[in-house]
Amino acid sequence: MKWKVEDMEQLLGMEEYVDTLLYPVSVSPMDWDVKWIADQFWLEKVSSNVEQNLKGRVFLFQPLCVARNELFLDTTIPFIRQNIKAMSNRFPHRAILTNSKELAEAFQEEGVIAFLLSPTPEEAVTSKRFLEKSLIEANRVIPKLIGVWSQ
Amino acid sequence: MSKDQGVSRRQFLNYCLTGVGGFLAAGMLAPMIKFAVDPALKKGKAGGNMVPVVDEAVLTGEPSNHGFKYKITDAWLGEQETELTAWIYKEGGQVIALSPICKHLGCTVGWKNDPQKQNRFFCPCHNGLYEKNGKNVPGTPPMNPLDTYQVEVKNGKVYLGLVEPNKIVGGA
Repeated sequence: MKWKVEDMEQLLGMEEYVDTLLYPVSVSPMDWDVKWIADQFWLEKVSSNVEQNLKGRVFLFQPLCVARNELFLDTTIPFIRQNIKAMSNRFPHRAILTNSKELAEAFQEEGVIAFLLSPTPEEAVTSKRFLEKSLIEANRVIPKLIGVWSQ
Repeated sequence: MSKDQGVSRRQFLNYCLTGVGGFLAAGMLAPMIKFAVDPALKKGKAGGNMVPVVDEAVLTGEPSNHGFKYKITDAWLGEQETELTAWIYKEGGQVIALSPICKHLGCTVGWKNDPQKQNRFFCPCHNGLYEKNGKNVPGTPPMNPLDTYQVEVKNGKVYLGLVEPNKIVGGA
């Protein structure tokens, strides 16, 4: 999940094959509690599982964590939009993986592939069940992403 | 008189010096030799572990996917548990476990996951194909066969170890 120099060198080596950008965005309420960490960990686990399965074609962008307030949609969407636009020449396929319904809907309207994550499981983030659920969630996203390639 | 003496004073001193020198040299060399040979004598923590994955009785001739956790010892991070999967099947009484990592660019392959590619492992990233024994199909992107896991069957349980180059096929 975390970039390393050797990952980047490897990525540059297979540049012509990696054509899909996966941008994880976690939106959490302003109240800081354990769920914050669980939400972010959930998104990281699912997105890294997707990347692990499709690493020869998917570039996982650094996850963005947003604290929601009344300005959230006005500020976050333009920020993500400009990031995606900046990388649109490099990546013909661009996808967002997020736990925010508003964000997913907004980007779907703009033609970006947007996956809405299932709610974060109640189990402890270190439990086996939590990890299993993250694999199940990733297996829900993977066929959809493969479907985009075959279109 | 001197012929009766077994050891002269000069010889005695030479023996003493040789003995002391020998002890000193052994004292210096022993740790060096131990340092050089020790890793080869130790049981490899990273390499020697075989972990139980599945009962042999549930395996058939059809590859099935099994997940397991494997402990890897890293010099920087110490012992870490990593999640792995394997495609396992039986062929002629032998248990074969293939790594699901595509040899093209590292995506994960699936068995019969493309309806048009029956009895093949298929990589969805760039349409790589492998036969059941892991042999890469010529004309598709992968240049090498899927790796295999070290396999051991004990008391009806299948144990898997490290990944190694595929020995059951010669490559395409």
